[in-house]
Amino acid sequence: MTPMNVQQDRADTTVTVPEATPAEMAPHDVPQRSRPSYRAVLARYRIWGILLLLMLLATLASGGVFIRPSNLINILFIAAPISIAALGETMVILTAGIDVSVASVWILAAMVGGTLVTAGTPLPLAVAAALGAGLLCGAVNGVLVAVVKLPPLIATLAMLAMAEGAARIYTNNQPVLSMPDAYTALGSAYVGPIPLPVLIWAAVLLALQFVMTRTVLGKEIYAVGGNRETALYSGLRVGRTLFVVYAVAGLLASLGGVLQSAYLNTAVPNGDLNTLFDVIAGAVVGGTSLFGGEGRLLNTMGGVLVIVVIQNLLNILGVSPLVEQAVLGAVIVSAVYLNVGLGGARSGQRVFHKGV
Amino acid sequence: MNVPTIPALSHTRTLGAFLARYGIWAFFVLLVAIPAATNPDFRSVANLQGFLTSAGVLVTLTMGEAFVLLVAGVDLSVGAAAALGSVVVTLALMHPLPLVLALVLTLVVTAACGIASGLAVAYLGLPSFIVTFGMLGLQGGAALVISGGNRISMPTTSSLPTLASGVVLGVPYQIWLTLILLVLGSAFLRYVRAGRHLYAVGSNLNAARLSGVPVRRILVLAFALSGLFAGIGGIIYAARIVSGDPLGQPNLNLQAIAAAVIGGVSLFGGRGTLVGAFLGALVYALITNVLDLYGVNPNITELVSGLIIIAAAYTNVASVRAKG
Repeated sequence: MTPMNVQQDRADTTVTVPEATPAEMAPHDVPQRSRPSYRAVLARYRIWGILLLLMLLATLASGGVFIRPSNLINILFIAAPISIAALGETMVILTAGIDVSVASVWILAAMVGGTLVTAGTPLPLAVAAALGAGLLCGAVNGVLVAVVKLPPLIATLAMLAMAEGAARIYTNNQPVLSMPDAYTALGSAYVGPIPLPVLIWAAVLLALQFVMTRTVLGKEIYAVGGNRETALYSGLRVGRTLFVVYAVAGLLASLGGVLQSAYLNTAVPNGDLNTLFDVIAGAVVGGTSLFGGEGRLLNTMGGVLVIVVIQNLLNILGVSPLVEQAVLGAVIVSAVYLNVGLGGARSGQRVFHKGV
Repeated sequence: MNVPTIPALSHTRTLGAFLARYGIWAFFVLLVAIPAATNPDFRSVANLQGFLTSAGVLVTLTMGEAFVLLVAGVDLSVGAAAALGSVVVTLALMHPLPLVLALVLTLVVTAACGIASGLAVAYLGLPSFIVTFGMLGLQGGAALVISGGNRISMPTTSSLPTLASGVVLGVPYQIWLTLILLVLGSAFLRYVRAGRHLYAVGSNLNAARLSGVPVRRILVLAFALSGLFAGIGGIIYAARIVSGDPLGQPNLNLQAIAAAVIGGVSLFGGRGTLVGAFLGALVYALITNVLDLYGVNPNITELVSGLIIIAAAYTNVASVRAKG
């Protein structure tokens, strides 16, 4: 078996499989991928069970208000842009990196798109410019991480400052308040019964799911995060993989920014950390390991929905939005604890995440 | 010499180490000397005092952050801890508690938050990035809840604001305070066993463990110190704005990390000094001040600070690589 195959095997069985200890496997089938037991499958999709329980709880606690179609649709509108950005963040975290610039890139794209379209630029051109700005930011992150080899936290921290500065310079620190209907439709229109941003979300998810499970690039992303050195020695294009991942994360963050500003019909140049919080929390609550190499795009969607449902429930219950942040902080830490604690072959071995 | 590569290699090594160690001084001196020579406004006592007053919070938080970076962790919550500290001290003074009790209470609260982060990192094996990310939410939320979501004014009778406004020998009290912290913290890192252990844990966790260093306790200590310094930063912040501000300055969390890296504290642990962190924070604050004096669009400041973070991190990483 070549090292390459080892990597691919490793990439395929990335999720915690506590049952599949060597002792329980048949003696001679070690090189083969064992069929995951049904408990392992349950563990793999745990987040969806949590989401269902949470929705049940929310329905009961809100006296049925939560489960009304109008509220559920509202949740989807809010979740779509965050989910799209969280998909990019998940890919970055899978390579054992982190992108803290998503919120700033998100804002920059919203400001570029909103300003251009309000000034009369044709819609496709304005959107292309916004996405181009995001792709550019992501590509710069990619060069800084893959070529200059800066720690991802610092490289994207610098981008956080630069993108926010660029957004302010571009708009002279003025918000964009009322945008043309054609633009706001991007974030608020329906196609048949389905909200347009949800369709875009589904399309992005499908495309990336294909890349992650069916292409070499997808395997490389898992391999680079699972064991950087092995990936390097196995001849994988580590630098190229890192570059692509950060560029895509920038692009998706800008798409999220465009959709959300279109939905809200506002774009404000002052960032806050809330978007960043939701995006990273979605990936991590969905079980993506910050050590890299472990996680699934679909589960990140579950993670984002959990976060948005909690926010929605607290809203309905009239809990002060001030408490929200504290609750979410606790949710994140406990979710990570559950992930490390339940599946954590690695806990204790690497107390620290070097470089992040 | 028969083997020409060896002197070349050792030369690189020296240059990298030299840059990492003294680059920040050169940078600092340039950032002071050039505007001082060319811009009379910069030289004015009012500007320098104003600058020092505005830099005190970041300087304190950056020194606290350095302890965590030294053990190869990261603390994303120092800004939120400072905001919480400013609210706690203001509420305590309104209660009214005596000044000393209010200060102690504040430091206990923020240090306890740091200890909680440290326990989660050391004993549950969670990545510090995510623990302190959650702690950021918890502390920010707690600050909002106990303050009711708004800035709260300090009682007019309180003497705390003199910490920000008072001046001895031309230097604001709060800068004296940060200098005292710098001396104490540096002495701790250099001469106290636990301080040396911070470097040992950050350089090689397993080697430290095998050498009998109480690794888990040292990790908790690093986060506790970060929380403690963030609390002091919060007190300075409250003194400066004469109120408690639950939102704080949102970017402070990340600025402290950036400033420490500019000051040569390695993100990979085990490398860096408090003097470096101190200077890094001053440089970060100076950039804003100098660009402002030259009438540069304040929005560009952030762009420039991003570039400087990249340059500093590059020097930092290059020196690590040169050392192998």
